Amino acid sequence: MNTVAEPPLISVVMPTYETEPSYLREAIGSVRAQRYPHWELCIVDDGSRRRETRRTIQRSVSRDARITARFLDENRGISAATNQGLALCGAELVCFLDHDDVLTEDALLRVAQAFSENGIDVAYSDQDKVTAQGEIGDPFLKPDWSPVYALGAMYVGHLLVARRELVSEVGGFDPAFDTIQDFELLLRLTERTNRIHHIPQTLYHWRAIPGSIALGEGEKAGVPELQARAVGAHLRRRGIAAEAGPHETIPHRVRLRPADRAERPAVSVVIPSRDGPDRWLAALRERTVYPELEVIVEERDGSFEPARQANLGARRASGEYLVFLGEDTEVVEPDWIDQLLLYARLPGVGAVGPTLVHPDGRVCAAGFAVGLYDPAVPAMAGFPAEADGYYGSLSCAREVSAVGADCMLIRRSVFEELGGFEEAYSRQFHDLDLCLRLERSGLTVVCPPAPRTISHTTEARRRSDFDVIDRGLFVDRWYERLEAGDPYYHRGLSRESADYSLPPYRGDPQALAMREAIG
Amino acid sequence: MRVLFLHFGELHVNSVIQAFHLGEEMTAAGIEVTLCGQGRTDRIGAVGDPSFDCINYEALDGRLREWARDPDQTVVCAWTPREIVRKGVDRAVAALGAPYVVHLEDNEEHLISTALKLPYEQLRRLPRERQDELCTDDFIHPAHYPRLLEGAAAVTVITEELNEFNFAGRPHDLAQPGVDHERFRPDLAPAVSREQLGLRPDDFVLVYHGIGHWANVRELFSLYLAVQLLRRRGRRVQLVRLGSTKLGGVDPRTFQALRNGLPDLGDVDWREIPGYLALADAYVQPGAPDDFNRYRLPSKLPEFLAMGRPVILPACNLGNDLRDGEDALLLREGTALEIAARIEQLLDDRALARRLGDAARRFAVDRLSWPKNAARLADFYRQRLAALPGPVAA
Repeated sequence: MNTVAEPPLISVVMPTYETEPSYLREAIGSVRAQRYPHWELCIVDDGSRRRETRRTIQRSVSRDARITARFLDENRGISAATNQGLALCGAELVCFLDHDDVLTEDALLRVAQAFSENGIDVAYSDQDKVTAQGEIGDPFLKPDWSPVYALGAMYVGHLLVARRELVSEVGGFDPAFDTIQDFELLLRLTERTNRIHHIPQTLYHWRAIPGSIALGEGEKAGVPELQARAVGAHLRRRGIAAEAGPHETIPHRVRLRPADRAERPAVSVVIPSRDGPDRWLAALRERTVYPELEVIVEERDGSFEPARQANLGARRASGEYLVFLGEDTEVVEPDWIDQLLLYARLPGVGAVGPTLVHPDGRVCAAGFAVGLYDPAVPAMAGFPAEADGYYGSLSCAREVSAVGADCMLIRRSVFEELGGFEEAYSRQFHDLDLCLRLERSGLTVVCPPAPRTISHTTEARRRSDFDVIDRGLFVDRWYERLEAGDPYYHRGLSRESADYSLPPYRGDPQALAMREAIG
Repeated sequence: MRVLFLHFGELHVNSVIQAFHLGEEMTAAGIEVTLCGQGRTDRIGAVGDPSFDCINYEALDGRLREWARDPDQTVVCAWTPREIVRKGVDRAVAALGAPYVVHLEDNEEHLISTALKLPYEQLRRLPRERQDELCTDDFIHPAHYPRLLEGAAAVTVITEELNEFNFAGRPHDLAQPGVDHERFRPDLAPAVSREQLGLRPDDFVLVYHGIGHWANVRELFSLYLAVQLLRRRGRRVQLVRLGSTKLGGVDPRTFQALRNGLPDLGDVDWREIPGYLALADAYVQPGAPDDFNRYRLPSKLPEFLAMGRPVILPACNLGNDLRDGEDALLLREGTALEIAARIEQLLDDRALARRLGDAARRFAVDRLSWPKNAARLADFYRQRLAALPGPVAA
C-alpha cells in the first residue's frame, strides 16, 4: 500500500436528488472501496420524493459509520444542497462527487498524495465517462493547470478537490449558477489561489445518461449563457478589461473580446526580412487599426538570421509591447493587436501567439507541444481552423509551451530581461527557446484561436530552413524539460503528433507511465 | 589478507578498470585477490591480463565453500550496492562471516531514477512487489540498499560527495583511481595517422573513448553538438570516437545526424587506446556538475590528464581539484554552447593549450598513482579488519 505522510481526512460531498438507486449504490460503493482509508462521505438529499433513493442512503448510513446524511424537506437545487453538505463535513479537504458517478479505487489516495507532496489548495484529475450500461470510455486527458483555458472551457471538471477552508472563504457554491456550479466555484477559487494541481490520472468516471452534460453538449439548456456570465463576472472581479460571450458556433465554449475601455499601449511590430517587404507588409499597414503602432522591418545583412535580426529590430523599437511577425504572415482583422493584448495583459502571461492557419483554412500551428517524439511539434496541424479541437483546445485560448515568431506578442521589458532571442540558432527554434525561458521565469505562453492569422510560408521553405544543429541546440538547452514532457499536452496522448489522438494501445495513462518506466 | 571484489558488471566494462589495477597492485603486495563479475571471465582480457583470479557469480558459491575452511582475514568489497552485488555479499557473509566494505562510485539513486524515468522518491514509495519487478540486478533496490550500507564494516567512495549516501556513518575512505603513466604519456606516437582517418594536419582533433549509453547519452549529445556548432562557424574541429554508442535519449534522430561525418572507429582493443588518444589536440569530458557527475569519476579522466593535452571537464569530481584556466578548463553548465566556447578558447590560444596540457600531466603523475592508491586502500581494509572483533551480519 502506498503511503502518505500525515494523511489528511477527505470529505466526499455528494448531493442526491431522485437518484436511480443502482447508480447511487455504485457511487457510494466506489467511495467505500477506496484504498485510502481516511475519508468521510457527506450525503445531502435534496428533497427526493423517490423512496428508493432515500432508502438507499439510509441503508448506507446504517452500514458504515463514515457515512452521514441529511435529508432536506424540499428541493433547493444542487448548489444549496452541496453547501449543506459542506456544512456537515469536518475534513481538511473536500471533494465533490455527483450522485451517479464513480470514483476509481485509488482516487482519494492519489488526492491525498498530491496534497501532501505539492503544498496545493486545489486539485483536479483526468476523467472518463461511464454509460448507463456501465461501459467506460471517452477519456479526457487534461493539461496541467491552465487558467486561460479554464476561462474558455469547463475543462477542470471532475474530480475536483479543494481545501475546505478555502471553499468556505469564497462562500461555497452559488445557486445562481446551478448546472455549472462547480465551474463557477472554481473561478472564484482561482481568485484566491494559484496553487492548483493536475493529477494526470483518471480518477473519475462521469455518468453519461440522458439529461447530463456528459452525454451531449446541449443536454442542459442555457448552459453557454450561464457559463459566459460566470466568466464575465470573474473578469470584472479581477479588473480585467475583457468581455465574455458564448462561442458563436460551439456549445460550452466562451470567447473573450477586448473591452472598449481597454488601454492601448504603444506597440512595435518587428519583421526580420529575408526577401524584402512584400504585400503582407502592405496588408498589415492597410488593415491594422491601432493608434500607437510602429513597424520595423529589419533587413538582412548577408545571410538571413531571424534571431539576430529580430533582436536588432527590438533594440530600435519604442513600443511597450513587441510583436514579432514573419514576413510571410498575413494579419486579417483590424483589431488583431487588441485581441492579442487582451491575453498578454492577463496576470502571469508572458507571450501570446495566435493559431496560425494556412491560406486554405487548415491549421498550421496552434502553438507547439514539446517533448514528444520530436522535440517540438505544431499542435493540431491540419485541423480545420473552425473546429473545436480536443475539448476546446482549438476553439478556446489556452496555455501552450511555445508559440512561433511568425506572430508573437511580448512585453518589451520582459523580452529585454530575458536577453532577447538566442542568436546561436541560425534559422529555427529561437522562438520556442524564448518561450521556454519565459516559462522558466514563471510566465506562461498563450495561444488564442483569434485573431485570424495566415501563414504563407510554404512547406518547401520550412523544409529548407530546417537545420539539425538548431534542433540539436534546442534539445541540448532544454533536455530535461523535453524529457519531462509537455505540461499542456498529456503524456497519455499520441507522441507522434500533437493531434490529441490516443495512442493505438489507448491504455490508461498510469499503464502508459508504467510502461515507459519499465522501458 | 584476502580481498574478494564483487563487481556489478561484466568484466570488460570501464568500471572494472579500477578494480583490475587495484587487484594487480594488491597482488604484487602479497594480498590474495579474487575478482567476481558477470558473464565470461575471459572478457577481463579487454582490460588487461590479470595476475589474480577472476570468477563469475555462478562460480562464487564454490569459491566461498573453499574459503569457508579458512575464512579469516577475508574482506569482501561490494563494488556498488547494486542488487547483483548485494546478493553476492549476502552469500559471502553467510558462508564466511566476513566483513564487507561497500564501494560507491555513482549516485545510484540518480541512475535508477534516470533508467526508469521515475523520481527516486516515487520509486521508494511503490509497493514492494512493484519495486521487486522494476529493480533488476543491475540497479539498487530501495528496500535493500540502505540495509546493505548500514551493515557494512566500512564504505569507500570514489569522490567525497558520495559519502552523503553513507547513511549509517560507517568509517569511510576515499578510493580514487590511478593511471598507468607509462602507457598514457604525452610523447606516444599515434596508432594511426590523421590521413588514414581522413583528417587534415591542421584539424583540431578531440578523441573520446568509452561506451555511450543511457546514463551519458545526454552528455555525448552535447559534445557532438558542440563540435558541429564549431564546424558551422567554420572551425576545423574533429571528434574521433572510440567505443560503441547506443542511441537513445530525448532525440535519437538528431543525435544520429550530429554524428554523421565524424570519424567513429567503434570498439578498439584496450591496448591500442593510448595510441588513439595520442591523435588528439585536446580532450573533453562533457557534462554538467549535476547530480550525476558530482558523484562519479569517469575512468577516462585520469587517462586524459596523463596524456598531457588540455582537458575540458565538469567543475566537479576531479574538477574540484583542478584550477580553471591553470590546470584545465572547467564546465559550469555543460551545455554544447559552453563546450564550444571552451574549445574555441584553446583554438585561439595555443599557448594556453600547451600550459594546460603540461599541468594536466603533472596532476596525473602527482595525484593519480595506482600503487599509492592501492596501498592506501589495502591499509584501510587492514585497519577495518583489525577494528572488528568478529563477523558482521548483512
